Amino acid sequence: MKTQDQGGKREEVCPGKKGKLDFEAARAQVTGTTGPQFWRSLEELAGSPEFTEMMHREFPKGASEWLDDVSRRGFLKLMGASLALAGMTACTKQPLESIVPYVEQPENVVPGKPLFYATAFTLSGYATPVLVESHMFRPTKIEGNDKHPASQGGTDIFAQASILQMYDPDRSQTATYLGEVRTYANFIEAIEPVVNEQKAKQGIGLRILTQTISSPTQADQLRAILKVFPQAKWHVYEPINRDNVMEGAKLAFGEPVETQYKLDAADVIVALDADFLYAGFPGNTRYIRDFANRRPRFRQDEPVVRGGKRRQRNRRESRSSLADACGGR
Amino acid sequence: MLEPVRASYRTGKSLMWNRVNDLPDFVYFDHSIHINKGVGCNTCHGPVDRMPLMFNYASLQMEFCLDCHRDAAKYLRPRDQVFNMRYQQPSGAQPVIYNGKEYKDQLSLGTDLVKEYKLRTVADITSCSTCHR
Repeated sequence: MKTQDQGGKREEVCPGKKGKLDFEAARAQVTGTTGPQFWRSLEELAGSPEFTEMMHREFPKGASEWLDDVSRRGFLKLMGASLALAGMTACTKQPLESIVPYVEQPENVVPGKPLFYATAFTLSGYATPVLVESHMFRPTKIEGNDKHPASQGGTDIFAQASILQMYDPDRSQTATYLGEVRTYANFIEAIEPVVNEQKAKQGIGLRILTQTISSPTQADQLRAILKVFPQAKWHVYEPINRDNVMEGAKLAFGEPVETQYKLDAADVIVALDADFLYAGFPGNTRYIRDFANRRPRFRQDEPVVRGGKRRQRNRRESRSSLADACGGR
Repeated sequence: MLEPVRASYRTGKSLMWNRVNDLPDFVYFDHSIHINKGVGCNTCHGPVDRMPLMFNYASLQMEFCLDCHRDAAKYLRPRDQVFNMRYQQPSGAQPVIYNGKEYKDQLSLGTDLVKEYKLRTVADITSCSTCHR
């Protein structure tokens, strides 16, 4: 093993076999301990000298010699040296960037100021009205549309998360063939012979699979397709669906109907396996608002008398067990 | 001289401007706060009204920004003078009148402006996360 003199202390430049970490032993040591202990790795928790040795190796040799208090400034200086060698500084001239203005600026766009678009977020066919904040036509944030009675400014977590659908790296940006990028024209070319073949057979070999479509336009388009291919079939599949709700509606009302609730008129609500406050329940943003408006409001100027008769306030609820009844599953 | 602009309009291709005053991407910079607190345009961009072709007046390295952030009184000017390219800092020969008071040197004017425009403390504006968000 090579050694090197460093200010009177012999230090090993190339660490040898001894002093290497033994992961199995460290793990065994750790499994015995209990309690919340914050640590970054098994070895650190084990507190073994081998780990300290490895920590030393992480940093430039000079740092290992720094036995007394390392001032933050000094440490950064040292680290800065190694970073500079790695070429990560911004001291040099910035790479050339271009400013590219619009030739024809789209209306209402002020670069730097966001635009808000009113649109709807659909989940299983149910639409929640939202406002999408868009920076230079890149949607960045979704909020509820406070002008819309079905949303009143609220969104649920699915609506909030749907912004990520736009930037999902797994989402295909173009048409692909066996993983290779193709244009839309290529797709049309490829599918045309298949379609023509089916046209002759009245579409007997054609199946269309979609999720729940509540858009009248899309439904119309699909019906138009079915007119051209009378023998084709259109299947709708929704993995998490409200088929049971429809069955229940059929039992209750004789036909599959969508029920809408006027929660602001309710004094007591009994909800059995229907959490209307939970995201994904159709209309939950409206129901949450209605439900909250019915709860008693505690005004700041009226003191709450504990352990005695409460002052009669204008209470719109007859029973405070509203919360319990609603939470019941 | 304006042929490139006309060509761009005809063909629909945008003009590609070379960016002169450029900060690295890991730096957050907001113009509005600087304009509102009395930092003049030509303090950082130089005498642009007299530049036939734009060039870098300031290095825009971190030390340049820190120089002012550490003591803004050295560079502030009244808000209505922010866009004035020919503004001169107050001197004995050319005092600046602000709010009815006459100032003969920059530091006294700057100190008053720091209070008036409610600049944050030096510790605040030189903290790392102000710019490196």
